Amino acid sequence: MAARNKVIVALAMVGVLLLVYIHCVLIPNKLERERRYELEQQSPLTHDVSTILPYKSQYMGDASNLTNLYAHLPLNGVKRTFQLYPDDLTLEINYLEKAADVGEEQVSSALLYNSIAAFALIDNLQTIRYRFPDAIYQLTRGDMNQLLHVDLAADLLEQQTWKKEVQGRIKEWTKESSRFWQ
Amino acid sequence: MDKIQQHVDRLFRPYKGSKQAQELKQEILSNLQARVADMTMSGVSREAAISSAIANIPSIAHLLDEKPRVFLYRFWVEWVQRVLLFTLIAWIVTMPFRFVGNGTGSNTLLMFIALGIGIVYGGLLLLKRYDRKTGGMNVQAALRLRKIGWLLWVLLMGVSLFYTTALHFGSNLWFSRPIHISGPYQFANVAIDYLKPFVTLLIPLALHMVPKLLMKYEVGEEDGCTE
Repeated sequence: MAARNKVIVALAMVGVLLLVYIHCVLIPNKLERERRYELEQQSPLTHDVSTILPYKSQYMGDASNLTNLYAHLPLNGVKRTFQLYPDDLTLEINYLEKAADVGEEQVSSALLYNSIAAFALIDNLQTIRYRFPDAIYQLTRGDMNQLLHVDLAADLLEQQTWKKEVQGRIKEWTKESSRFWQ
Repeated sequence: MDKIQQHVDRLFRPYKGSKQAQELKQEILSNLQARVADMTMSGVSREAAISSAIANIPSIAHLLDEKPRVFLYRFWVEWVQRVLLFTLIAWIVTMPFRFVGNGTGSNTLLMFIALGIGIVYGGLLLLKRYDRKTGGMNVQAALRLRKIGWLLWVLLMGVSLFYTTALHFGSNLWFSRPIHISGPYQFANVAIDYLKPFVTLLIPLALHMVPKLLMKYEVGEEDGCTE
């Protein structure tokens, strides 16, 4: 009985210490990691390309696939609606916030990055138009091919290639992206 | 070991620890051996005599006092103590559930149950003046309850395993699609869904201890007792 009482006290102490450790160290660290990861997903330079690979499709007509794809790309925090023009193989995204309010440089690099991802994943997508209340940004598959100097083949989405060929050059492209604004 | 000894051991197996049963055990064994000796003397073969003697005593439940006197305070203190010990172990074992997020409720519930039992246990320890108090407790009913507890628990586990499998993998099994678990987080969630119902193991375990402790704290002839 007395030995069992000692075990009970020891177990209660271990339980309380574990509880404190989980709530004061492990969970805050986990939340911080998650917050940092979410933040990284907002920047084209640190975005995790593996999160968008499930949305590869041959056809641009799959609205839910496109919606889900853009939900996993930078600018996913800005409210938007989608419009598809299947005859012109064109996707139009209407953002409800002004580009100036979000930050023009941030928008430019994010739109370039998102477009490369969409063209690489959706085989027959030819044009993407981003409408903001204060501006329109439009890119075609041809524009992208010119920027990248490579065909937007699926192997571009391989993690290392993507890092080197897309994320490594996005800053330099953003500087010359003003021509896409209308 | 001869057949009679085996039969007697089997009859008394549920009453291990009962003073009353131990006193009876030797008596029954000698009784059966004498009966076999008598029958073989009168020309019955040994095998037939053993079978007949064994068939004569299929159970000892009717020979034991249904409500033996038990030291109530000692019984309750040890029962509550053991339940508290098991609850604390279950609380600690399920602690990682809190980190994953799934099962935090079960772990919190266990913490409060342990706290409640701890308070009851503390209160019982303060009532030491009732240490010699005795009362009649139904051991047969406790044995039946133990059996029912385990049966219901096995049934509950079967239903729960079926439900969890249907929930996570029902469509994969129905359409013969391979099962895909996307990463460690999803694996942990599925594993926790399977493990969570095992927390209810505390209930049959608590019931399991009752008859054992009733027999342990049975008042023997050598014990003086108070009402």
